[in-house]
Amino acid sequence: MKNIRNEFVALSQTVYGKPLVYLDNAATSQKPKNVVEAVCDAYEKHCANVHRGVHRLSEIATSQFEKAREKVKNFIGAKHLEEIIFTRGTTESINLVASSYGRKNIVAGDEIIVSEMEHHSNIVPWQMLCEEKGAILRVAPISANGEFLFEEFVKLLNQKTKIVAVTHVSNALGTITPLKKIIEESHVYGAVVVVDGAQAVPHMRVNVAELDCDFYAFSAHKMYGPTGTGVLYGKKALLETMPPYQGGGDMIASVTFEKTTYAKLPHKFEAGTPNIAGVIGLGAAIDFMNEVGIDNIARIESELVKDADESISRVPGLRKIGTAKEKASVVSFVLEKVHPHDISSILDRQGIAIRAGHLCAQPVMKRFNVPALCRASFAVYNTKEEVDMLIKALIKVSEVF
Amino acid sequence: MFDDIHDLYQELILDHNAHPHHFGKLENATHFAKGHNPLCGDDVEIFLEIEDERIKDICFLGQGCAISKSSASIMTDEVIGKTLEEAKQIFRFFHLMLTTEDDLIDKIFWENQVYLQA
Repeated sequence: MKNIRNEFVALSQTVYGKPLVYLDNAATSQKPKNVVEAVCDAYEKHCANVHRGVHRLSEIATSQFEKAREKVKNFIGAKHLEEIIFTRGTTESINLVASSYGRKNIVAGDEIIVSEMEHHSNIVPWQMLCEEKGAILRVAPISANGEFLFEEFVKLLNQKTKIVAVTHVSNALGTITPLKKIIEESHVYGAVVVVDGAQAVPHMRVNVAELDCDFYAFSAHKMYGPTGTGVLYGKKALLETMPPYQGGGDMIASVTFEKTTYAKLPHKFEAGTPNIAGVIGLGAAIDFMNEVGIDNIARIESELVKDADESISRVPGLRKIGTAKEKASVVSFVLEKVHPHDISSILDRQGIAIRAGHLCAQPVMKRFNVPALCRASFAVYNTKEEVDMLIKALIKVSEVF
Repeated sequence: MFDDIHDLYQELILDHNAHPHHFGKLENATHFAKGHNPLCGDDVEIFLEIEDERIKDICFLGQGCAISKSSASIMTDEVIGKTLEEAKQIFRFFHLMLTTEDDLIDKIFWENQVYLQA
């Protein structure tokens, strides 16, 4: 692909008369033309419900929908097609596991481990489950650099540990966790591992079979796809033992008032009409990423992060938050005497979009003793010039205050 | 390139942010309220000393962006010494100003001149 930026119409616009510098990719990425076209076609050309209609449009919609499942399976290296469940996003994927696997398997006194750097969506569902079942939530700590403290995590594992819920890449710190080791060690104790992959899949090659994780959740919209669509990967053997998450159409084999039998995987977990255009759009997003090449994406982004991490130290009074050795896509920071929202507002007037706030990771804010932080996060279409503009603007902010 | 920063961040706001007025805790407070905005993480605590239906003293504590902090600071200047009814009137006017389309603000301002000058 010659010029990646040309594929993104949104990137050529101006904001307050300045060219848009979009550095809020960890919140959501912009969408390439092929994704927008795929979603548009799904509504304009073959809008029909899936898995039901015996007519041409429904056949096309169904075939494209199922083709997207195949693309996801290949993209993350799953062994079986029925291990790919479509959801509304990472949050729903994790809730599905907590609600279906969790409710069936967790009893009073069991333990669930989460890490200190989890997004709220990988904390709250487990807290709710613990509260309901009388189970105990344990927290694996992180270091002052924002590294996952593996040795400390291992100390928490025991025969009562039933679930380990951990992120692959921290949304607030960019830390890449030692997932393979975490999974291996958890399996020694018979715990299942649920991975929040929302910030990993957009940026690096992920292979769920090699990782040997039990569940892996991610969202389409952070990987150039539409909002409102996500994936839960689960090992077939586990998914088969799990009760349905929601009841309704599409998830049944037969229904009478006496007894309902459920559909086979993956439809057992996909009650109701899904986000058909969203799923088809996700398929197109995977096409885009494959065309650019996931290794190219990872290389381009890690150069940007390295560059930003180094040059941002020139900004007076700036403190970096999250300086792990293994990082992806994210550079987080605070400025002495300037609230993150002021930084973000001033940058916005320069056309630069970053995120400011608690980033849905309040325990991380507490860990680093900040009320909020600023986060610049990169995608494959960002440039070194944009990093320079960010640094220049930040230096100016430090001068104004 | 950066001239327009000052549209939003006027000296007034930067001054109040760096040196907020009535910032601290009021030992003789008769009234206290706490506000938290989960969306942006702002935390504000307000302490009031009310005597004979009048705001004798006011202080605030908290953290937030410059706009939030300077607003709180300016508010303390505005309401200190006012009667409760006057303070409520200021609040109603301010709230209206914030929630009204730009072109209507002038009109509201004009209609409220009488009160503000009083």
